[in-house]
Amino acid sequence: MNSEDALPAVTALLADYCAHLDADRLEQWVGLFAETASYRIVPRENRVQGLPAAILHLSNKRMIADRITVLRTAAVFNIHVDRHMVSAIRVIERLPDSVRYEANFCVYQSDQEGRTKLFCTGLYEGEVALGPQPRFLQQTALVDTFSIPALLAVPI
Amino acid sequence: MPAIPITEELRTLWPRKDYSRVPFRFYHDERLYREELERIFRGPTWSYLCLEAEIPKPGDFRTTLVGETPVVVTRKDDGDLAAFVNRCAHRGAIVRREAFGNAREHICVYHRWCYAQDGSLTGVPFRRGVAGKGGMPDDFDPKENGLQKLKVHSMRGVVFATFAAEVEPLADYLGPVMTAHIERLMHKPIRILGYQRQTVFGNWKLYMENVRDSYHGGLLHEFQNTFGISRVTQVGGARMDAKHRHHVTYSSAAEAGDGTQLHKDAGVANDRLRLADGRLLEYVPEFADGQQLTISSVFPNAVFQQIRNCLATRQLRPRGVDEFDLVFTIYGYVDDTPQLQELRLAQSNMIGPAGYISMEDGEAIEIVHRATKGEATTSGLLEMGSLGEIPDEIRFRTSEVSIRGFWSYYAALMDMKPDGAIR
Ligand code: FES
Ligand SMILES: [Fe+2]
Repeated sequence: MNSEDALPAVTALLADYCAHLDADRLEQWVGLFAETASYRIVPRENRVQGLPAAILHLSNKRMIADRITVLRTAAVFNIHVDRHMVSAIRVIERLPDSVRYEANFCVYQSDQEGRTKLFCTGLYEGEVALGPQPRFLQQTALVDTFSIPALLAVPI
Repeated sequence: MPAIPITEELRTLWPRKDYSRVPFRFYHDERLYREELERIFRGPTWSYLCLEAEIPKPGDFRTTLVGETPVVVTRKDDGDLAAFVNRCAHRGAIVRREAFGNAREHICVYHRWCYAQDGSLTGVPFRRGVAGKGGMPDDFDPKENGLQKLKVHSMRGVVFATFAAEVEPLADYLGPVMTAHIERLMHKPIRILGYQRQTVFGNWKLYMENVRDSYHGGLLHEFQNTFGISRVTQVGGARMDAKHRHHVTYSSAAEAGDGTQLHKDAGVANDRLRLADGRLLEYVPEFADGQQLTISSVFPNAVFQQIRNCLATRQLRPRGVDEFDLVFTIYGYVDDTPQLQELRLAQSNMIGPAGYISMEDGEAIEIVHRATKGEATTSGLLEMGSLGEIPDEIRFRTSEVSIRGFWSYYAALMDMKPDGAIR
């Protein structure tokens, strides 16, 4: 598979990723990650200054699953619906069994009264393992909207 | 007839003399908020600006806010700190537009007035005009037209500034309790690990109340409760300075009673949650006193936190009566091992806008703010812990006494104490 052939696989994986998050299928969202995968939400200002801290720093699939467990059992957050928009998906590097990709994203949040706000916008940077079942090896949401409106509970 | 100052009008709304009732209007009144910016943020207080480790080299600067006033804080070539209002003396443009950087001088883009590192005016283009025509009047004095300077002082690398000409020295303002606490946190050189930010849709005072509220910790935040990070049943308490303007809350892992059963009796679950990877709950002891959690606040805009090994400052920036920003500066120590730094980063999952023990606060503040808007006569209730005179030390965690302390100092500074105030 060359880089162009990988694009449909990455695109389909991202479509599932967004659909699971937006439909509150958070456990299925966890299933899109490989065992060793990391997930991070990185403020653009930290990236620019070369600083390692993140808004979420989940360094393996167990930590990613824990995030969802906490949301399901022990967290209080704003009642809302998310809607992800992803565009400009592109494969930027072909590796032996995986590809590195980038894509633009934004997330809108709507409340129970049907009012919608732009929640955040940024760049996905990730690595996807190819094969019959493509999975994320790494997923970073580099957020431009790093002054998070109110709170961030559900992953983006 | 001169208008009655808003503080005089609102002063009469306190239902009680000991600050155990807070009129909801105090979170929403636009005119009161304008007074707060003047009397508190531009008044005789010291506001937290940054950590010295963020501006280590000569010329390093950061832009920040004190209240709503834009401020530049910088390290001059001689190594000293300076802070000045980031508003051009000419026509009022923002002089330093970047969030951070390094510069020997600061030039306003609009008409290129040039300022030195301490904010003094050093250059006005075409001051003498062109070919003898135009230019500034002969008596224009650059010395009179610099950027407004703030008094700036560092306590163990924590940088504070004030607009007030008449104000007690920083060490006196902080008092022995807060000074000792900052010395504890800054006991060796620190390294900045990064930032988290949050915009909360509520009045800024709701946040200063929230950080002083040791009652809510294990009730709102089930994660805190389950993993014993902070429980109301733990051995702990709070200390305040004599004026009750700052506070330090602490708790140790020890329980004052059967915490699990007491919570169960109170209808609070704390045994439902299991983590597949509990490494972020580890604690590497690094303070002699054994306290695993300390949260403190310095009036009006700073919070210092130690949640296990997760260390951070929080700077509060009001943005109108209905909104404020929080800037979390996460740090470790220069001599951290890579493992300890990784633990700090993992534990930073617990704090900030997405944090396991803090995301609820954004929601709690917002729902209070939303539901109390427009209330003219009703009040919130602060009776947990004690009534009447406010003690400097509280030796338990089921307490709202520190919040009454906040209001007692607020009222003194705003000149809106109730008649016969008890503090
Ligand atoms: S406004 Fe700054 S130089 Fe004119
Ligand atoms: Fe809280």
